[in-house]
Amino acid sequence: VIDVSAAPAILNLLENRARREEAAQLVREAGDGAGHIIGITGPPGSGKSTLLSALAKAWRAGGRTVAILAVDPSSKRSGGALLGDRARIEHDPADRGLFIRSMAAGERLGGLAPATRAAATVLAAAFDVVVIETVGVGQSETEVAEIADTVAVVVPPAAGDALQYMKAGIMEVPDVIVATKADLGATPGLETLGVPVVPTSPPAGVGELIAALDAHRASLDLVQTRLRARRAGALADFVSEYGESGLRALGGRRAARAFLSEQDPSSDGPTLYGLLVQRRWSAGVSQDPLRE
Amino acid sequence: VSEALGRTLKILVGKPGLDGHSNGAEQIAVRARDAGMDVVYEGIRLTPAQIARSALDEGVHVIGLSILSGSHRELIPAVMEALGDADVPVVVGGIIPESDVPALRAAGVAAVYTPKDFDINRIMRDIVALVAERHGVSTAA
Repeated sequence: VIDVSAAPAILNLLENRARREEAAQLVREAGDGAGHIIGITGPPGSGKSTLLSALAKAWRAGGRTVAILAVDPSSKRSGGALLGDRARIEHDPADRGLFIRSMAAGERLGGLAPATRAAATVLAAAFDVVVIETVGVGQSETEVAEIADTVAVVVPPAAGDALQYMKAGIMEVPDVIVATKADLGATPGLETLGVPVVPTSPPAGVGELIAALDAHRASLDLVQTRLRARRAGALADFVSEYGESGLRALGGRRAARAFLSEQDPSSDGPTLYGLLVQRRWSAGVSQDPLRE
Repeated sequence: VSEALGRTLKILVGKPGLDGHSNGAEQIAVRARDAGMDVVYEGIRLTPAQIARSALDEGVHVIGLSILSGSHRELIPAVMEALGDADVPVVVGGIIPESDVPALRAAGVAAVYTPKDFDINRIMRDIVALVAERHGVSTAA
């Protein structure tokens, strides 16, 4: 049902706000893909796209198929977006094993576009590697950690002292830290965070980075990871649809998580989402304090 | 129109061939963003195959090509051919002699703009109308 050549049509469907039933059906059919879902995140200008271009080349040379979901920010003023990552990733137009799709983040602030989660899930059934490149993030955009099997955080040289990393936020999410532009120096203190640090200056360091990403994936309990991703995705979809008042009707975020963890672990994302919506109705909108 | 399409109107902007004068393409890209479109800016020195592949992968509704090198008579039809039976309208802007316009239109190009068409807002309205027409939706939506 799902193969690499179907990728463009799949994305057209998943991004279409008017075809959500079909989209949910597609997510159900795809199930838990065997592909490695990797999130690449970091501040603007830190070298994410350059790194990705080198990674894609190395993966393809190694015979792995690669899908890249490159998310860029939307203008708050017009709602439009200028998506420039594609121009920076080298690609051979005749190679069907490399698929690149630019996505606009819209009004979402977590670093992902509305359809990114569903797209990564479905593409993982067809591609060996699915990369989500987030918008250039600051200190709190960590949504990608909920969907990716492995998160690589990109840190350019001289990015601050150890105090930056003691703050909550983006430094809570990495499984691998990529110290980019390594030829220009390093950021001190990264090795104290307890995850592998790989210095890169493409093509130098790319092989080591791939090894580190593979090692992390091999150490994962994939069933648990994907279960967490489905639950988190269902909750994020619910919040983006029903907002804070919806969350209050469920008794808050913590209660919503507890409710999800009681559900059948084999449930797919759209089913979990449906259960949350159902629970909101049965809890009654009267619990909304603004209405009382 | 984006609402009626179900997803935001998406345009690919790029320059085929050996032509590095990207100012015009960047103006169009930024104005399209300001008009509320999702713009995939592909950059310069692209082959027709790259443009076609990107357009299909990205699922764009329309392609805008900028060309100032004088090679439009070869490159633009090559893009149209690379697109094959994909139904994505192409508009072209650049230094295009009036006498070449009929040939480009015959090759399937939906519209040709030259420096005489300096009203970029009008070009944006044209593009929205073009996409709306191809998808059978109203521009009022």
